[in-house]
Amino acid sequence: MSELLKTLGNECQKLNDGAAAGRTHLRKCLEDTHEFKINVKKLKGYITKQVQEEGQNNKTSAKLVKKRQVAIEKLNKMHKNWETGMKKNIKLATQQHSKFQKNALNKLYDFELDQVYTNQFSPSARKHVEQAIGLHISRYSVCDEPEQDSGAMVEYLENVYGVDPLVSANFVELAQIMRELLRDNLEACMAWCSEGSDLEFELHLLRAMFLLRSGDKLATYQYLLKHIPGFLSKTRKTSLRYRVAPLLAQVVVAPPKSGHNLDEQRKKCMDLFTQEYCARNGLPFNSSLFLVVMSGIISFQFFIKYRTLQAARHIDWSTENELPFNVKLPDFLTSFHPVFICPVLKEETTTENPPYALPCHHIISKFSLDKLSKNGTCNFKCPYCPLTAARSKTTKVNFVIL
Amino acid sequence: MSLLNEPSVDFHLKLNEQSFHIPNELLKNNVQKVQKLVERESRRLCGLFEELNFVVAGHDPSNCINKLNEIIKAVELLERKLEKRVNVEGELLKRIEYRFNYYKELEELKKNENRDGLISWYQRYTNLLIGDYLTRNNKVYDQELSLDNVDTIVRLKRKNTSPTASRSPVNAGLQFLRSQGLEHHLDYDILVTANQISKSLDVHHDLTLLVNWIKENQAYLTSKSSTLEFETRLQEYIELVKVQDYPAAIGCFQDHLIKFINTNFEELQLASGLLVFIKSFKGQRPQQTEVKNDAHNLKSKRGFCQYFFGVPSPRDPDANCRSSENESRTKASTNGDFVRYTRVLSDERWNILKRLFLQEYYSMYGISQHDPLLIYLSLGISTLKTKSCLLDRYSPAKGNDEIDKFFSIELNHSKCPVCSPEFAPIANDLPYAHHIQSNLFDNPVMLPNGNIYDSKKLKLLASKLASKKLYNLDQGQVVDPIDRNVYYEKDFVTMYPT
Ligand SMILES: [Zn+2]
Ligand SMILES: [Zn+2]
Repeated sequence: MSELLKTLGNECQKLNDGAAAGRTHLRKCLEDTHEFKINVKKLKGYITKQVQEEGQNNKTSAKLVKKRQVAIEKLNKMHKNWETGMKKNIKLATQQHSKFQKNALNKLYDFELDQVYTNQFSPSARKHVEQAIGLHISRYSVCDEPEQDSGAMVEYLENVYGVDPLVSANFVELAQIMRELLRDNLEACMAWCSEGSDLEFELHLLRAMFLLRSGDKLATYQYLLKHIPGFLSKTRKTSLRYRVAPLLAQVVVAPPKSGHNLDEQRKKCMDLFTQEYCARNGLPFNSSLFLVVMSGIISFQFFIKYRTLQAARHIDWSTENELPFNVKLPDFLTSFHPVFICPVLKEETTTENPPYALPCHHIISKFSLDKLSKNGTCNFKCPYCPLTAARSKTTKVNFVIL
Repeated sequence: MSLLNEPSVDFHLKLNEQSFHIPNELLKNNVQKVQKLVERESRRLCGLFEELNFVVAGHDPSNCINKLNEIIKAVELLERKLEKRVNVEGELLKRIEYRFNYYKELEELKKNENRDGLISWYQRYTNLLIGDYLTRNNKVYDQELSLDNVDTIVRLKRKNTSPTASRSPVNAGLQFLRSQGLEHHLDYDILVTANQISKSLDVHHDLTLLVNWIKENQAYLTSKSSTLEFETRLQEYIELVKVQDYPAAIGCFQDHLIKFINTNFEELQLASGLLVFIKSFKGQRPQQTEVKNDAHNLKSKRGFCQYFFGVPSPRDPDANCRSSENESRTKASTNGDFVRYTRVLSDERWNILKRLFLQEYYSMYGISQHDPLLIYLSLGISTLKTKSCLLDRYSPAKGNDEIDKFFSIELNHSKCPVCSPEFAPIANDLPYAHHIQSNLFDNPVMLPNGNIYDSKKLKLLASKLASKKLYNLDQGQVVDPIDRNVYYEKDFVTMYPT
């Protein structure tokens, strides 16, 4: 377990359990005050009763006055106790927060976010950022908005978040079908999906699970029998057969299980549907904002480390055209453009220095080619194999990722 | 190595120190309020007890009971007030708990190598940054709507027939956080207040909220020797001068500005000069035609000149100073004053005041001065930006929608977030990522046009094109998605990029 998390957890617990388990010092103050109030009330009741008795007896005995004084003295004592208790608890509460600061927060504090913001955006960048936010909200959150009707959804996003209606309109149908799925309503999605798609298959399974949940084994069986074989023969996706077997087994033997499988299946359908929806409409599956933030999170530690190093050496890199360090990103963030490092120069190829294929099918950059061929004046040996090459026999190439 | 090369839980905690620091500050603040409350009420109770002790010796017991009733009332009042404070504390402790659990969840996800779970954790992280951005930069707020624009409320209410819309619209960021169930993860109240005060400054030119905030936080501002109070009062004075309320201006000067005489002498000189300057010019100039009394006219140089001098605006004052060495001294000094006074009267001061306020406000809570979302975006874009980004060298659409859409989905560069229409315009000025390794693909083959593809994927693409009946292809034919020409598999040249 992460050390800091552990420490933080312990210190958080202490904050909650200041005076006693689940009771902070402030709550103790409140409870003490409440108790004090009850005691004053009790004492008032006692004295009131005494006064009434006095009234009946129609005389004021010194004895009773004395009794009253004793009671009030007791009350005075309680007041003093309450007061000292309050002061003590407030002091302890203050100390508690200082301790949290010292034991937990000071360990977390290492750097300021602002430190790494070397390449700052101009104020005009905000409108583009807000556009990206609009796209992000449309892509992921339309479902979570209170509006149901498609026109109202678009309007709501425009009014509240300033989302361009042209952008949000693309996602309205997605949101509506998703909502139906969440309500166990498969018709809309069934009508939307293309015949023979994986989505269709998974939807059939989901429908069968609904039937099974309702306890109607016969209907489940008939449903599977009616839809699955036809589906399998139409699409020749026989590999899906094994997915049906467990369901059939449930029909025959096991009682309907908890909703766990069903929820998973629904989520599978929703994910598949989102994927197909985005692909069919030419929309990005992940919002650009999410992808950029994700790489920001991953690279943050490198920026911090570099920043600390450079601060010690008083060097600034904000004017550089290239980051001074390498950040390894996960596959889903690096599959957009090919990167080719010229094996001779050890530099990334660019439009000025594009890659060239030699006749031996090895590839080097233009600058290396110029250097090796002395600007095309002589033949040269490929740096990677024994073949010789002439610059006239080379081809400019272009890597493309599919 | 972590699943997505993402940072450790420890680093995440350090990165988000603020989300524990701020609630603790608020907790401290809450205790201080309790302390003040209890001190005040204790004093009152002590007084009541003294009175009680006095009357108990007397022979009329009803006095005693009356006093007891007063004491009970006082304790009840204190109890109610304490209860409110305890609730505030509970709410703040809950925030800390939510946040702690959020990082605990991250730890679990990492331990279980749950990739989907991690992605969805980071989705929430992104939404938090969006919520923060929207809260800080919210464009409408309750007060604005209720004060100036009843129409807007009515319109919004009619449009939003949802249950939430029955209340007046809240900060958009808060609305977003609530819709995502993330409101406990951000100290939105702190940001909402910052947003309200800063909007009241630069949109409404209203100092009321700022003045109140300064009063509440006097001790902090003094401890930092902040210039915020001075600048705020100076602005108040300037605005009074602008609307020619001279008695109020002088009052403001005496009440709030004179105490800064040692620290801000020059500005005060200028401020008092402003009054003399404006008054004397006003005295010289008899009532003239045109729109002289319009204070808004003072914002423009021309309006100012016409107003005070009854002349058209002078040439560029800098050029004037340089070229007019020989001109009379009085004229030059009038010009110098003019420049200084226009700067003082300019609306830009509101913006400067707003930034000064935000700086003090954010640093008081230890919140980053810049919008965190922008910081992450700046780092993220650079980390993603390859040398092939933002180049428009791929063939444009050919006019067949279906084919265009098909290729744009199949070609990965069209999904690059840096090249997306949203980010491309702001990615230009940022540095590129630094790569030390090639990142290519399997089975690279070159077509006669020099384009290199993954041969398996190129063949798969051809079969998709054929099955969708977008192209008529023979056996062994492929389509280059860039130039959209048909090539033969037999012309593939296997490449050996190292
Ligand atoms: Zn070679
Ligand atoms: Zn790109």
